[in-house]
Amino acid sequence: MATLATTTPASTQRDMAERATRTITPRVDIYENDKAYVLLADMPGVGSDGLDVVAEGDELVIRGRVNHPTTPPDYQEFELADYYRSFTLTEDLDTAGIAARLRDGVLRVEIPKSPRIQPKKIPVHAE
Amino acid sequence: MGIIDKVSALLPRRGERQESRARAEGLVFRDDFDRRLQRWLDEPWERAVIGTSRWLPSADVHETDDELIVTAEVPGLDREDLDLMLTPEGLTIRGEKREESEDKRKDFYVSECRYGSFVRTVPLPPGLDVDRANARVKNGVLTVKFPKVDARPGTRRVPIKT
Repeated sequence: MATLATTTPASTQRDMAERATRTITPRVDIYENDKAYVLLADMPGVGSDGLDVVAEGDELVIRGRVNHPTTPPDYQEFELADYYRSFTLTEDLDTAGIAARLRDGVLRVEIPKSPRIQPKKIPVHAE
Repeated sequence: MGIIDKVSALLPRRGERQESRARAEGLVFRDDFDRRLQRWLDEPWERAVIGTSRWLPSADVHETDDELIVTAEVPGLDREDLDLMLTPEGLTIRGEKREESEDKRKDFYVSECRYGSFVRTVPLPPGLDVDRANARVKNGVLTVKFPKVDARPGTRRVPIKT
């Protein structure tokens, strides 16, 4: 399948084409708390060895690869497919401090807000 | 704004194929009331009746030469969250996906994941040794394997006289 024997890093798109499997968008939740933005992605079938979370510049890419069963299903409602989704991160985020965790097929990415926009309590000195 | 979704429109989502097919059918048979009613009845009950807050995990059934394998997508659930029962109707899977409680989740930008409890029964064909069923859950996918038996108990061949 991998006829593109190249030493240059294959682009994400080409990489996905080489695997020749279906790729789908994972469902995500994104919410905000005082200190960070949190992204949760449902990626059933993905283990930590098949997961890539890459933050480069203002782009966050999540990719997951699954091991496909060898026998075709007799009754099918879902297909374990690879996952791909990318996001643009705005300047108010501290991309250096991104933390990711995968548990039971759910990816959790926490991106701290840049310290300068975090709420800061200003002490008031009594005279 | 903090995180902006980039390519969500380009790739299919879970269940989108089925939905778009139903929608196309609705356009073709726009005036066929019976068909539309039937389509409404065919909708998964969770979506038609309760709305999108409830969910049912998707399930697949595979068969090999010597076992039947049921898999279900249960992201976020571990073995403590799942309860499997064998009933006359088949394999009943109960579970609950809880929202994480460590944060006060007040400001949502995107909310696509589904939470809550579900009960789902997958009918099983005869000829399985259900006593030797084994189940595991890994990476949010539940797999239940049922070994096949050669013949059901009480089954006997009837010879045909020449």
